[in-house]
Amino acid sequence: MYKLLTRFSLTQKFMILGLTAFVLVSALTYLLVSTADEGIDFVRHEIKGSESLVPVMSLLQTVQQHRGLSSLVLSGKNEVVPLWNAKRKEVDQAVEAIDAVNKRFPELNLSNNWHAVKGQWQKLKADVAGLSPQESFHRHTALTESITRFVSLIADNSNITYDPTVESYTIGQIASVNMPMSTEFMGHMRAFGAVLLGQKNASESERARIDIYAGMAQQELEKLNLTLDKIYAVNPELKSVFKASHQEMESKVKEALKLVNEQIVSSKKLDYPSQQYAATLSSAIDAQFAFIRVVDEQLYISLNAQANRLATKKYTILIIVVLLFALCVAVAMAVMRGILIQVRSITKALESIAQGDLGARADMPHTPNEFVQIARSFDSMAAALQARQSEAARAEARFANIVNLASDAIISVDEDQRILIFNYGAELIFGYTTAEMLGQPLDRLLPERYTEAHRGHLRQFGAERQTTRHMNRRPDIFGRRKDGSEFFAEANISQAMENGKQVFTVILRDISARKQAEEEIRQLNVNLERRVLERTTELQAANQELEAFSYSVSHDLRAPLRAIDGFSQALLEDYADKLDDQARDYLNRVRTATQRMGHLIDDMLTLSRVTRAEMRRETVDLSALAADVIAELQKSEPLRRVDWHIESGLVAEGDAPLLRVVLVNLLGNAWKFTGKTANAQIEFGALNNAEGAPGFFVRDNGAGYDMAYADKLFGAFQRLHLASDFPGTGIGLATVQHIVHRHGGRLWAEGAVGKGATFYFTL
Amino acid sequence: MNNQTVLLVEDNPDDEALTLRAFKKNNIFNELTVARDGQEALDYFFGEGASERPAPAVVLLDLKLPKIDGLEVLRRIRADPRTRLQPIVILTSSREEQDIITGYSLGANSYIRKPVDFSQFMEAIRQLGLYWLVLNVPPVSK
Repeated sequence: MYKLLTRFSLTQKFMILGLTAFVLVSALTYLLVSTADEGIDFVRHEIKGSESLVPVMSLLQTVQQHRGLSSLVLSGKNEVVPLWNAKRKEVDQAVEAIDAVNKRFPELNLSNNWHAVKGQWQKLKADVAGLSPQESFHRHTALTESITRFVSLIADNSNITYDPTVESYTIGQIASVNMPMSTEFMGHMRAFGAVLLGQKNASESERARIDIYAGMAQQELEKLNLTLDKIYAVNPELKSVFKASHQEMESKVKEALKLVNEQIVSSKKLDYPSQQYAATLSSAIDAQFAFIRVVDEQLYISLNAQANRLATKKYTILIIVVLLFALCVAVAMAVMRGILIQVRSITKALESIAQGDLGARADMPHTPNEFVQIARSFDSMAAALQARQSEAARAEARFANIVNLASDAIISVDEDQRILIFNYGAELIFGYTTAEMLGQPLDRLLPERYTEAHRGHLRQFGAERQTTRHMNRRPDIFGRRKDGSEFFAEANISQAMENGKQVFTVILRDISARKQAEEEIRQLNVNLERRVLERTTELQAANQELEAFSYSVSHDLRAPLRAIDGFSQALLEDYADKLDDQARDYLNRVRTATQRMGHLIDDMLTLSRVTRAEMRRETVDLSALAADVIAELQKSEPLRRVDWHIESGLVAEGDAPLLRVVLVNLLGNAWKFTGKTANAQIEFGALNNAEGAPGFFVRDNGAGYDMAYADKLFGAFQRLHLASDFPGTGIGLATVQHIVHRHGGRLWAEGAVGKGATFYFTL
Repeated sequence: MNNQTVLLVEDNPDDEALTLRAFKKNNIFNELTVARDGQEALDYFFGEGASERPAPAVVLLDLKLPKIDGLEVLRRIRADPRTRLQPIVILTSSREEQDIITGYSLGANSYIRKPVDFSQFMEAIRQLGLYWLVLNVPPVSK
């Protein structure tokens, strides 16, 4: 059911709902209307009955009158024969009227009974002339009884006796039961009283009989009053309708009853003229029938009013139902229209958004309902969408800027290698315009000899599902410009899925210039290597020469010196007696000079060896080395007293023999320059410096030096002291500096004349 | 003190004279034979009449020599089974590490650097004579 209904449009749903309501309302209306129609038919039936009653009452009246006239005629009063005949015609007229009514209302089903009554009358009419007065009276009375029963039948068949409303039921009772009976009592009294007055004598039983008639008539009057009071209680207006005829009828009946009582029941002598008596009672009966006619008329009116009320009620119900249904339809249509308008408003906004107008909003009333909630949700969705799209647009603009401003070529291709993006950088590099290249195959940008291989690479890359790759892993990528020239390129390729399709993006740059620069650098390097090799060879040659020179120096310069010294000594020893003091002094000077030159040569050899020697770095215990050097110094002059402070655990990375030379020189210098200082102190320790490299110092409190000449301290053969004061060659510190430099360190000094000196070095 | 000869291989006449003087001054009276180049030194051992000549108590070998240098002389002496045990002291001006190492590698018994100071030279010769000519027991005795 639910699923079935969701298939229909809103209009169709409302139509289904309307149809269902229509059927329901129709059924209810039919029930209501048919109930009302039943009531109306019921009342119409009664109306027919009330119409039928009128001629029957005429019949009853005329038959009663015919009964009285027949009595008179049959008693010999021939003067009333014309009246009697006339009355007989009236009865026939009444019979005809009832025939007509019976024809009109066959549904009252009266014809059988009516034919019996009618037959009874026709038989009586045929027989009446030959009957005795008593027989005539009985036959007439039997007829009036039949008529009275017929009246009851009419009342029954036409529902009057079953009418549920008090008014019409009671009126019906009066018209069909009470009054006919009253007239019958009055008729009996008229006929019987007239006979008694005619014979001017009455037995007790005859008096009692007429008194019973009078009592019953009296009773009927009282019953009528009670009944009328009931009617008036229901409908007071009827009082005015009935009042005149009722009062007239009542007074005439009372007058007749009074007459009966005074002149027959209570009178000893029955001398009241019978004709007058009959006239008085006839007048009362006429009044009764007049009242009956009024009542009949009112019954007809009441029933019609009732029928009209029922009809009005029925049509009112119909009108109300129709109006309500129309209202329902109108409300439903308004609701539907409202829904459709709101749906259309939302749909319109959705369509606008679908067409790209993200500013579109559903135009909705401010009162909250479900659609307004939907519209608000939709509006906030649209706003979010708009914000996101503008962000996307900004991102796209940024992307476009990056792509356009990039000096690299950025080229995207689809799975068929058709170009999708060809940026400005690509235009500059390849010489094609973007318009020329969009949709073109990528092959146009490659040298023809590479196109097939490149397709293979791209397919392989696509199959790998690797997201990015540097194409320059392969050597020598080439691009082809519009003019057909080729260039070295470096490229990265990446792939992404766009709407389920692979898109490859290549970022490519022309690296011809770089390649050229690389080639130039390579050439330069080759040249440089060749020149380095040449220089190295030259240097090696120079080194060998230097070595040969040093060798010569150590041998060939020392030998003459030794000869000079040796022979000077020989002269001093062997020819002492032939030499005077001056000659001996000279020879001693010669010897001193030669020995000094020997030292010079040794130191120079050390310096040259320091320069040439191969370095082997190892961990050197400087503290132990210093102690060794000091021990040697002490041994050379065992009598000297020097206060040594050697920091323990000093360690350095370096060439042990060379570091020994350093300490020999620095400690040797300190030893030498404190030679004339009392309380000589020499300190060797670690330097706290910020350079990171390990640092050391050698401090003494000896002769010191003038800082003004500090720049000459480390030059070869530079001396700041006289050899006579402090012997030396001026090569020691130059050698130390050489060694320190070869270790990548630094050597510097502080000092003042007479205040000692401190030498610092790092390694 | 034995009377064996000492072979001095020395090309420099000054050094030869000074060595002789140092011997004399130190009262070393062993015969001092002088070879003035490497070839002469080798001839002493392997040349004509070499078998007639006595093995020196010690050879004082300079390194820088004309014709055949001292180290080559040393190598050849050590290479010959007849002379491979001959005591040889290198007496030279060179202080080159390379010379010292090569000298010892080739089987020199000692390496003495000639000081420039004649007094020190004298002392060196004195100790040398005392050691090689007095204290040391030579490997062969003829």
